[in-house]
Amino acid sequence: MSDSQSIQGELQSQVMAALWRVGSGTVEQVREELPPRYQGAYNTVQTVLNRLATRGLLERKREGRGFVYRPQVTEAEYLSGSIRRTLAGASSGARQAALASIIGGLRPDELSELEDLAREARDQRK
Amino acid sequence: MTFLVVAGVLLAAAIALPHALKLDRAPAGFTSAIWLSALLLRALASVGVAVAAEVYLPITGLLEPFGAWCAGALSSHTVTDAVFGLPALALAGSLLFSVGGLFVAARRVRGLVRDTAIGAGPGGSIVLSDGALLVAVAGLRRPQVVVSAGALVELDEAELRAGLDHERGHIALRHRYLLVAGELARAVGRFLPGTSAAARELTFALERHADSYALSRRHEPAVLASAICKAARGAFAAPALSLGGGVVTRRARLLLEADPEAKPPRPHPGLVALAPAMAVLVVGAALALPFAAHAGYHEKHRLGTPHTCHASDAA
Repeated sequence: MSDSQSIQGELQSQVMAALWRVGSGTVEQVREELPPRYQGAYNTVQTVLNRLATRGLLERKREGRGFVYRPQVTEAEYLSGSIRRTLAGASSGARQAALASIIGGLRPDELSELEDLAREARDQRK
Repeated sequence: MTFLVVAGVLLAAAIALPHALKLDRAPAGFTSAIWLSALLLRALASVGVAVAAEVYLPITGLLEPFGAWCAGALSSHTVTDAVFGLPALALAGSLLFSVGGLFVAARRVRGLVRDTAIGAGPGGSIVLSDGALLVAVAGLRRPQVVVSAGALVELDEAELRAGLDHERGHIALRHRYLLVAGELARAVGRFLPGTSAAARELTFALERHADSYALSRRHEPAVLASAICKAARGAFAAPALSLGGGVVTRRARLLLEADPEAKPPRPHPGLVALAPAMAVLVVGAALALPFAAHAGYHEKHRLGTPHTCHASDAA
């Protein structure tokens, strides 16, 4: 396996993360949003974006002379699925400890937002 | 009686034999057949033991001191008759529990696909929004390859294509039916030592079979090994027939040690003979079991049971 193949997955992750930050963007916009280490040639970023679009993860729309790429899956969906599945496999004690650890690391504004969401979820269940 | 002893010894030998053989490098199709047969023989042996406990043990008068205990007895049977039926009840309970587990797992997979599917993916697969690395087959009647967004992000092009062909291998080779049969046999045979190991070996053989299918589609063994290791690392609780399933280190080692240029080795003639012999034994044992049970019931009634309850005995 070549080195370029082994970093392909990493670059794909970075491109998705960049698109989640900007919402949608052209090749150049995504390239600018990438960390300096991953800001390769324009063609490399374009190839990765096209590949992710072919795989069904990005929507590609022509706008003007170029294409605009938009993620088909939100970052929240992407993260929550794996977190839920990871926690589902853990024991009840470990699950509570892990959630407490995550909550402990939140900022006060994030905590109050989370409280609102918890209240909403509780109300919906009633 | 001599026939039963010979049949029992033959059954025990057939059950134990696969554990004594080194099957890792044998063609995966043969090893899958051998391990599935071994599991089915374990299930039949367990049923045989349960039938023997219910039919032959009362004749021995093993629970004679409690034989006259008729409290709450049904029809003319003593309470001790129910004790002899406990092994059969345990097997039935285990089987029902397993069927329930399969049903729940199937419903959970259907729910996961329904709730998280975001569209069509490469090679006719279905993309799930999940960030965990998952490439798997979902569905029993209409199986489909599902691939998570995490897998599409983490795997490079060659790894993804090899992973998808591995899963197509599971579908083309109809592994889902073998897996369900193996799981049901494991549920019935779970009280025999070594049954869990046999079930694990069946899963390993099926995964290796799908690996061979992917390699026959001209994928590099190292690329497939890399995809398997990534999938195993990414999936916290990998479902059955997923890319990271089976004993991953053994699978990866076999793939990396394989010479991609070499022709697949010809299976040993003994192995070629063993797989059908085991299958014949399964069919033979399944057909013989009802006759043995029937003969046992005749023997029981001929000799009579030590105690029979009457309506006046019941408390």
